[in-house]
Amino acid sequence: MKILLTEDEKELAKSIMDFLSKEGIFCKLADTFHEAKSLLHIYEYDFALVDIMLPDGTGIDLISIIKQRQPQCGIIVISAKGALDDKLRGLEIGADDYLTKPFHLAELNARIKSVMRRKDFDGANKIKIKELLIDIDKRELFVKNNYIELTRREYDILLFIVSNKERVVTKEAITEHIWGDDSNSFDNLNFVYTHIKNLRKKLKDAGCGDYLKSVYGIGYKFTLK
Amino acid sequence: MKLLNKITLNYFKNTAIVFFFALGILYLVIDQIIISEVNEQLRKTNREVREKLESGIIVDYHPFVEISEVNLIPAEYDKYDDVEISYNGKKGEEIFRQYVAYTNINGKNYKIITRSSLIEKEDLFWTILLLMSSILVILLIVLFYANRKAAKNIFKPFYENLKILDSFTLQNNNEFVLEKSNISEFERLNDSLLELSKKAKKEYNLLKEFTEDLSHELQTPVSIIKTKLELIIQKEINDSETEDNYQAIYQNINKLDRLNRTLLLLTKLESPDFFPSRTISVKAALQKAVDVYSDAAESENIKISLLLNSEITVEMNETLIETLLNNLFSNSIKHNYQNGEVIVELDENKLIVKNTGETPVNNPENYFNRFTRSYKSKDSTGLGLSVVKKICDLYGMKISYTFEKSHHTVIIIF
Repeated sequence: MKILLTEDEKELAKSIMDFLSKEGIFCKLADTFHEAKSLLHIYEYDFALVDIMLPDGTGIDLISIIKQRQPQCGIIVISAKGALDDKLRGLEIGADDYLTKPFHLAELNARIKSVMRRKDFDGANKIKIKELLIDIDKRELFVKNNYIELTRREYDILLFIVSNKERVVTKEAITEHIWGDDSNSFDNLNFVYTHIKNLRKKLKDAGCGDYLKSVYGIGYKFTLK
Repeated sequence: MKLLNKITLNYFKNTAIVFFFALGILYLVIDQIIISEVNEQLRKTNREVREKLESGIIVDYHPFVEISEVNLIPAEYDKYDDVEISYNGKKGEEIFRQYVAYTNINGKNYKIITRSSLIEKEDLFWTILLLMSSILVILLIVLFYANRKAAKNIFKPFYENLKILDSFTLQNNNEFVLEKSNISEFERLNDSLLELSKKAKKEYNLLKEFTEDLSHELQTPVSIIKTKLELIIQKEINDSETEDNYQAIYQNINKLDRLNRTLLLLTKLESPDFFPSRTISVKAALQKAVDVYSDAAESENIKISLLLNSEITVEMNETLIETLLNNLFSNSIKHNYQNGEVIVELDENKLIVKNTGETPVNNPENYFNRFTRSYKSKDSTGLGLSVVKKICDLYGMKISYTFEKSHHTVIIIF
């Protein structure tokens, strides 16, 4: 998969590219509006991460260009927190999702995947990993073809962690993904642990392998290794 | 006491002193004139009585004229004095001025006393006193009303300006326009106030810009550190000390990020233009916020009770009402204890959030200030309530905090 990344902060761009390259995603960085524009005229991309604030232009204009020239390209708008107008305008002219800075890399990854799934499978999308099957439209989980009843939170956490398969997902990233930005105001994120614990038990009881690992006390990882 | 009343009162005091002093002098002068007049009158009568006596007619008209024969003429004669005499069966005694003179007529010594009543003098005194007092009272009344009327005109710009000053805040950028006055002191005061407000605004804006720039500039390095750390922890490590260090770094960079975001929000709240409003149901917003925090509450076994008795809507920015409620909820859970409770009441136009918790040790009034925490700083950035207060201020909603019956209680009136 080829992604066009517009981001003028070099180190941030590098981190995003690092993270995504391990997912097998190839990123092309454009740090100015004009560079992004000329790249879009030459190459085709599956996906574009568009920063609204660019040194020589606005990402809103880039979205129009993408929509015109490469309508199949998925778009996620990235902007500073609280700029609600940017969000609404971005979504109005065809962006698929919106992310506020600063964000967790795991969150970005999950959003890209979610948008890609919607695009690729035309709505009928499912994730299958070994004995696990997640039906994303119906929000249902099957283990060895048996339906497993999950709470809303458990399902959301599982999907988020699975989307970031083989990556460490921090408790903060999970909290912000599920409960929103403001929820990340607790030092003690025990409630995440409670849900994970219940989720693990349900998976284990259904005969699923132990893929959900705790890492460093910082977060969790869904791993087949 | 009002300035004008003070001045008037002072004026009254001085006027009264001058008046009574003048009254005294007036009395003494008139008294002197009357006495000398009476004396002359008495001497004249005495002369007439003596002339009559010389021609053999004895005039005796008690108490005004008394003639008596005496053996000796004392060394000192011809003297005036005041005596009290009762006559004609009249009750009480009257004051008379008498002139006692001795004379020798045809070899006989006579003592002639002529008298004149002084009752008129007394009357005169009271008349003067009454007259002067009436003038004083009339003057005071006229002065009082005249001053009051004048004060309305003179002090009108002053009071108008006071009203303007009362509503002065550093937050809004429009300069205040003070009412003009033709009194030089007031004009000078106005000039000084304008100058002062300009200086205060300038300093305030500099400080605001500094905070804003600072949190802006911090944002990028903080997010770079965060994402780099996220990359670092992807690598396998088998060393518990490094794990602990990562954990500490990660938690603290998160805290820094949170703090910075909140500060940025606080500076943005200074300019309401950032936040377009729309009609929002408070009940729905509350239910959404409860949904966010129910898990955090559950893990501490805190019971959340919702008593939503009214359907009110507010014109607010969606993000801001979320931030407001989220801050209230997270506070009510953070500053709580295990198995505690949170009670949320929505009644008419009032939102009440009550929660169990330890008795606060600081002055609760300071809770709305930045970086003020109660008994301990568990999880808290110390900015939560000041964000809440700022949002309330922005929309003109009243907020109060009390601690009663072992419950922290925050009341917001929409």
